[in-house]
Amino acid sequence: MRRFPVFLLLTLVVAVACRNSPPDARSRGSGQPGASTSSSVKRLAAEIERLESVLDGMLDEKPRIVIDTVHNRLQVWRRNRLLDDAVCASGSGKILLSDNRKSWRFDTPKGRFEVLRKVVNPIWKKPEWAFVEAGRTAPVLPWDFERLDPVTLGKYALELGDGYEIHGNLYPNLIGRNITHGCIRLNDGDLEATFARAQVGSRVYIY
Amino acid sequence: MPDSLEQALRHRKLALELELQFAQENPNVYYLVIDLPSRKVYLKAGAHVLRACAIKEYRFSGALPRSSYRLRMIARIDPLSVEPGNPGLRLRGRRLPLDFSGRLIEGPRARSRLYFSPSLLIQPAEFPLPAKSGVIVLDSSHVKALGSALQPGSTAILVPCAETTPREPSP
Repeated sequence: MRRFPVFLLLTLVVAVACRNSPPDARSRGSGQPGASTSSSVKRLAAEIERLESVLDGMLDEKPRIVIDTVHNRLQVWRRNRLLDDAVCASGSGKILLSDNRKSWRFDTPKGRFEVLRKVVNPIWKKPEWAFVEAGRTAPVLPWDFERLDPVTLGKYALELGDGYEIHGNLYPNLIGRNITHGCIRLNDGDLEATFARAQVGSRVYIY
Repeated sequence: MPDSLEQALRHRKLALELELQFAQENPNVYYLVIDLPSRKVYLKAGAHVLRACAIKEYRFSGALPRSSYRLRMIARIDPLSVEPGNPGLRLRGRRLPLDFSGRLIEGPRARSRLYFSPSLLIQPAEFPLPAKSGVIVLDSSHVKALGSALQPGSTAILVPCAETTPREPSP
């Protein structure tokens, strides 16, 4: 019974002494003061640099096109550098219904695409909805001459697949709005610059 | 000071590891990096930065983030969100009111909010800050754009600030 308070007192004295001692004295047992901290900081910094270089290695060398369909902006980037920033037009989201109960929704698809083909003086092969929208009957044959339109797409087109393209525009005043049938439209100057920078295989991110 | 530096580096390293793992597994999927130390939210895909959004304000109620971690988007909350489980409000797969432009009704709005789990809202400044969840306040144009890019299930990686982190006991 008598020994317990003495032991407790000794423990307290040792604890207080350790707490009040300068930090140098406490770290003396484990080598130089702050050495472990600085070495772990260096190790972390090196590891971060390595991870950043791995992430950096995932960046594409080809210019990439980033399209914001909410604000109708098209940007061209190479790695972390912005090369071009243009106003574009994108899908309206409208739904077109035909007499024979067919329907089309004119949304610009979102996600990651690739430039599949670069076309100079593209000719638009009008799909059925173009005729339905104009209140006309579509020709039966898919290669009918009446379907071919060399004017609407402008001077250049970048094909993204599934009939979606980045192309020119007949109505400059409508650029900056959601009015297209799903394609991305640009004015002539911006289209020319984008066409020049984009390469076949360039990534296109649409959101 | 060295402690907070070390802590900041640990957060950064963990965030990079999480991002690298996600970007390698899903090179074409959009994700967010919420970088509190630099006060930026990055929209990225396969390590490519698609959009950088400045954080106007952020707050974490209750438990502060102790290290970098992954979040999952639960929902985009729009002002006119249709109540789930109400099939009567549908016509040919579209929601009422009948709209002349689907985007106007179903697309993201300037007043949309993005809700992530665990408990984090990304919202424009027009809304009052919620009391019971973490919140990141962005410009409404950024929230609208992020709402267009992300969908339920999308991933975000949060990098906390070192100074908001309680000191962890050393092993």
